[in-house]
Amino acid sequence: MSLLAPLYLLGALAIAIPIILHRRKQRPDKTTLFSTLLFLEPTPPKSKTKTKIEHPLLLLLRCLAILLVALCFARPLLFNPDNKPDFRQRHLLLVDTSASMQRGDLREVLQDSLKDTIETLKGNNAEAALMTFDRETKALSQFTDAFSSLAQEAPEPTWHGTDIGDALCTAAEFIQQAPKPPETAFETGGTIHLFSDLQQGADLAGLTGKTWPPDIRVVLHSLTPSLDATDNASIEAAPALPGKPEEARIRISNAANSSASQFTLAWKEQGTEDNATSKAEPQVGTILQIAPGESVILPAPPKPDAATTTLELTGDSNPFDNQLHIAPPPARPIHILHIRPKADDTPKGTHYYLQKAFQPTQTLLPQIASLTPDAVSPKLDFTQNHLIVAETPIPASLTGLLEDYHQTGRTILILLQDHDHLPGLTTLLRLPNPGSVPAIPAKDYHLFENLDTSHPVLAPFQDPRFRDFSKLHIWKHRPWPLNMERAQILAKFDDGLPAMVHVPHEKGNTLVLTTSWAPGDSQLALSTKFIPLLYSILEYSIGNLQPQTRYTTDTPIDLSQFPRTTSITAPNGENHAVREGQNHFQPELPGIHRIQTGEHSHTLAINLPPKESDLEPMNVAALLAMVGGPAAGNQEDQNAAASPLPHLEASQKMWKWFLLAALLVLAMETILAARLTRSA
Amino acid sequence: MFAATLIDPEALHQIRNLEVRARSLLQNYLRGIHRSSHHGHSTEFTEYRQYIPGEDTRNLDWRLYARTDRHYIRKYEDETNHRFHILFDQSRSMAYGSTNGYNKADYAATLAATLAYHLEQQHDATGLTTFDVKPTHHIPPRYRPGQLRRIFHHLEIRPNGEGTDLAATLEATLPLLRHRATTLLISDFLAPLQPVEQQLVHLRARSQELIMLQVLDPAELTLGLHSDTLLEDMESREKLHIDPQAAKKSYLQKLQSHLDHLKAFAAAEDIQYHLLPTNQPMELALLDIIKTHSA
Repeated sequence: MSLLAPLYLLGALAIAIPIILHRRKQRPDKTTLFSTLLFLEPTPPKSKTKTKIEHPLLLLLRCLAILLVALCFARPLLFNPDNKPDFRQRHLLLVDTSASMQRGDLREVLQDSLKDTIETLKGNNAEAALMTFDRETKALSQFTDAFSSLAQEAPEPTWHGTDIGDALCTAAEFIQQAPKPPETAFETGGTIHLFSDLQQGADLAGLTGKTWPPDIRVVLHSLTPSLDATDNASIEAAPALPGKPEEARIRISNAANSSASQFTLAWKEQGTEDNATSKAEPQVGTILQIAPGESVILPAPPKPDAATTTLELTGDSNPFDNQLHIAPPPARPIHILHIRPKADDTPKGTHYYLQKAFQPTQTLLPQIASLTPDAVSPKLDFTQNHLIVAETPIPASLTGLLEDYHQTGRTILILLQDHDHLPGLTTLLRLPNPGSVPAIPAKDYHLFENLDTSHPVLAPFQDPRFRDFSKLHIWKHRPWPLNMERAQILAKFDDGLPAMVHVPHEKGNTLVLTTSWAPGDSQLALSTKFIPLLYSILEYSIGNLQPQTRYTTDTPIDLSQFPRTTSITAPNGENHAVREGQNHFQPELPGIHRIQTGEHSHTLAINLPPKESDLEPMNVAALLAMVGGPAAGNQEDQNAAASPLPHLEASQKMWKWFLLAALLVLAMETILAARLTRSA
Repeated sequence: MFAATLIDPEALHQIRNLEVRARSLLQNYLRGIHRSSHHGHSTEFTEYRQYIPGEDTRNLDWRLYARTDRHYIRKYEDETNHRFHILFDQSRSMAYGSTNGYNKADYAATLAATLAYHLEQQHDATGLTTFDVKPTHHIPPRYRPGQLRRIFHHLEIRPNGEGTDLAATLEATLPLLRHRATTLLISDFLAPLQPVEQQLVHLRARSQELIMLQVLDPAELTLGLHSDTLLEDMESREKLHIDPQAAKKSYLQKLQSHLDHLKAFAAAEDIQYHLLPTNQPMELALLDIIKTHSA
């Protein structure tokens, strides 16, 4: 039998108390009345102790009760140290490699802590695995008892944020799903050793609402730099003012426990090496006074030249979060496919105005492609397009491609033209062919009316200032030939016939305009309504056209915004080729990334997640409450967690039997003492 | 005559009422043993006594004078009745009792009540004086309705006196005993005898007869203590730690000397003396007393 807390056995020394009391010659503490003391002489007791123990059985019971209680507190268990394979434990070393671990000598501190932990695991019939986490959790090794292979060198910190919640959940699943060789008996569950600086900016949301497995224990190893400088200021991009997306604004925050309040903000010249001790050489720039715990938002100072992209803050002791990379929002490539019966780029046709409408801007880079029936081939792929404008008649051979395009959730704008049949359209809409659709010439002109401005396509015209369509004349339009329950009429002509119809699909939408913007059909292309209508249709097809201005190392770059991306160049010059079908790219470094899309090149400024700058200690109690771990990650807890004895003792619970025996002995002692008292 | 076995005092004291206790004791064991001569007013005279000049002439028997021309005085009833006076110790030491359910005072009260009851049945005048350091209650010997009730009432008072000053008590009591009577002194006599002896001599001289009943608890006679004890004197409140094993011998020697001295003094002064351990039946002592005075 072993004892989990043998020091409590010292409590058994208390048996000396009843022994002394039983040997002690008791001074009468109660007076006895006697009729007279006339014939008595005082006879004081000769000694305080008696050679003979009084009531030996009572003494035995009392000593036994004390011994049993002491044993109960010592937490006995049946454990054979030679039978180690029965209790093999698994320990997972979960190492924080987030950006906040870049500061100071945290990596050396981590290395020492890892080594100490591994040393305690050796010889305890345990096996360990190594995982790192920042924004994501990565397993660097499987469970092994070859500890020398683990953490020869502390994992290098990255520039990502900290998601402790997700990391702990992943680690717990890793332990539970790790294969267990049948020849070895494992103890259920395992222990997660969390090595982290436990900064307040770490994300614990992954643990919220989840039930932590009871057999997974968490031991916290809080890492602190040797020179724990509390002053930290951070810089991050602030939202641009409405209407001024090109004006960069920044937010500078000073930590609440910071001892510094004066900082310098300056542009960093291209090619300058990062200066870890920037505090020693303050650059010429804007001097800011920010009290601890406060933050300011201000416009970025003027750039010295166009090539400069990095703002640097100096004046605090933790420079890892003192750079902000600023780049103009990238122009988003927009691919528009115009399917037309014949190639007509003159002002009489529609394609001419379509090209004029979609001109490159700071945020959008429209590219309009044209497709005629004679150019249709099986190799075509419409899914890369953001908008398709199709004029009837639509070749039946394209309906399959258009249906595939619909699967992307985007929109086809169909312009009804004079034609005898609508095979492509009816196939696309899965309706019987209505036959000929003759144009309805107007005596003079028609007007739009009954506009449904609650629909997103016409929502830009909801304001009464833009709702006046009376100056827009339609010379010719076609009747909507299809009777569809699921079709929604968005606008009508003044003769009551539908002008714009919306047909939703399972995925994607079809908008049918029963006229066109060709000058022979209407004045639409020449009106002020044309461009807002086309951009509204484009936004309805692909969503928000506003560019994403803030990127962090925690946010994968959505490559769908940059179709036909071929490669991405990281700030360190490393070139990452983009595979076909790859929709996201995870930046690893903060800085300017260059995205190559065919002949165009876009720049993205990637910065640190702002939460990484929140270096104040997190609420460890809240974390432990979610994982039910020990109260602190000190060495004793670590050793206790490394040992199988506590869990074995918890499963055996022998202390209960000792407590029961003690109670029985105390009951016997009580009965015996009562009898002796009565007899006395 | 005494066919019945002696009654256990412990069983007797299960009876709470003193009168019932006394009547039970008397009726079961002393029935028929004593029928004293009747000396009351309703009885005929017992004898004539010659007139002594100076005596009250109202007591002269004029018929006898007419017949005999001599002056004789008829002995009246009161002179022929017995007077009993009980001096009853109610000091705190009398409250000691190692026996179950009663103490020395209970035992002595039963004894005195039994005697009083018996005497009342014989139309003897019975009085009572209770005392501790001084007389606390005094009932002159009388034969009249209610006398026995009053005696019982005062006998039932718990001993709560401060101590026992027998000499002072006797000195204070002597003036109260205006008539010669048989005096029954019931006490534990656990006090220095030297000052008492003088008063006892005076009492004996004033009394027709003096009977001393010493009531002691068995524990007092044997020092029946088993372990180290801190004893407290019931009267003086003095405390004393003793080891019974070591103190017993000396205690018994001193007690025996005290008892021997009292017994010798009683014999010398013609005082009837009875030692009554409270665990012993009291009938034997009662019989001795009654038979003596029935003769």
